[in-house]
Amino acid sequence: MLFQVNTVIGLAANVWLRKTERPILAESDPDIFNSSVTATSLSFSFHFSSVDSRASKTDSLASVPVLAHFASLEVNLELRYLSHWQLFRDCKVCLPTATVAKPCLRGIPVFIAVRLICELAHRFTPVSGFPMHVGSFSREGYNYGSLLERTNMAIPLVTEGAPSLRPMAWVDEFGDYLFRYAVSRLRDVGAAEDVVQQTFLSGFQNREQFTGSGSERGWLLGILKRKIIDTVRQRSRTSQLTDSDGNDPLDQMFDQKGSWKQNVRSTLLQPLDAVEASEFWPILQQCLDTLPQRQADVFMLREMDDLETEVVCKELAITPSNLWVLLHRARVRLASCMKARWFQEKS
Amino acid sequence: MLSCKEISKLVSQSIDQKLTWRERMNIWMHLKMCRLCSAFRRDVLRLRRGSREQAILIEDDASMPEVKLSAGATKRIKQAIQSHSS
Repeated sequence: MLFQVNTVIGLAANVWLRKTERPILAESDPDIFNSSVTATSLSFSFHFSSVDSRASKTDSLASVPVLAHFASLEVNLELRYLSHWQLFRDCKVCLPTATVAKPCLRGIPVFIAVRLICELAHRFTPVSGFPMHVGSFSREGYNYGSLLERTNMAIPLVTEGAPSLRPMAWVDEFGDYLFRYAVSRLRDVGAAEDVVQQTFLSGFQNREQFTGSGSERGWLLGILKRKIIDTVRQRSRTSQLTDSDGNDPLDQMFDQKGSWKQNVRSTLLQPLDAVEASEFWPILQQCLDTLPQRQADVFMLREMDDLETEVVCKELAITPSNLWVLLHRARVRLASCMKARWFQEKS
Repeated sequence: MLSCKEISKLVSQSIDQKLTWRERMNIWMHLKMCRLCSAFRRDVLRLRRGSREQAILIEDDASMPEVKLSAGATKRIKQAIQSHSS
């Protein structure tokens, strides 16, 4: 049975390792907790919980030697494994001092040890120079090589366990990311905050569905995308009544014969390509705000999310011809608005 | 002969679905003669390219670093999770 360590954690470990130039343990020393740095201790509070939460409790405080300025740092590790409760209890015994660390580490399966290392590395990503070597780790015939080279480690599981999720850490870790994504799609801070909250709650409630094959962030993003579409659908229903689609906005662009009006021609001939790449998104956002909400939403789903037209129609319960009209109006107006703003900004 | 208004609509549609042979022929002939509609087609394609590029940047978290969850929202969300977990 192979278990893939969370990509995000692996990547974070990777980034951190690149930042850290001076591992304090020799490559040959597999014992990560047996650091030779003499300084104050760092407290770890290990929260072990099983998925059914019957065996859930916060367990021992363990200390690991670290540099003095990390003395006050407290780390909460939430490790969720259904069937490894006993193993973590062993782990508890092994952590308090460096001297007993070695034999105890030998007692716990390598995958958990590696998992712990990853977790630790992940926790300390923002702190440069943290004196813990997370490089190579080999024991009892397993050689996992260096985390530097392996961001997706395939680690043998002794028994099947649920992958580790840390819902309480989600908000700090992924909150801004998911919020940015949501704001970009919904263009509304309040609505974006709502979907981010719904995403975390839904992720929390359905955490047993996380298979561990991808990253937590990717998994949460999948939930968020669903929530965004739900929100767009809801507001599309209500805006249907208020959006005045009576007047064709394209009448401003075309004369009665259907030719481009004189006053739009010079702008039209200016290429949209002239808008610098770095300015494209800010200006597009401003211009999306000038569109009726449904036009902007349809444009986003089709152009940014790359959803097939059939899917957009289904999600928003609109007919294909309705969709073509909305998309076309959005495109005409966006192109013209973006160029107008760009040239206005430049002049 | 189709007008610019009709052609521009077909141009817009053409990037979402396959048009009929006749429609494509109409567009092709019109664009040969009309700089304005050609310019519109170029813009529509640029809009799509720009949007998709931006979507990738956002998904990779390489855009809008200044946009962050407010402290209030962060607190609220944490409380919500907390209340669901107890």
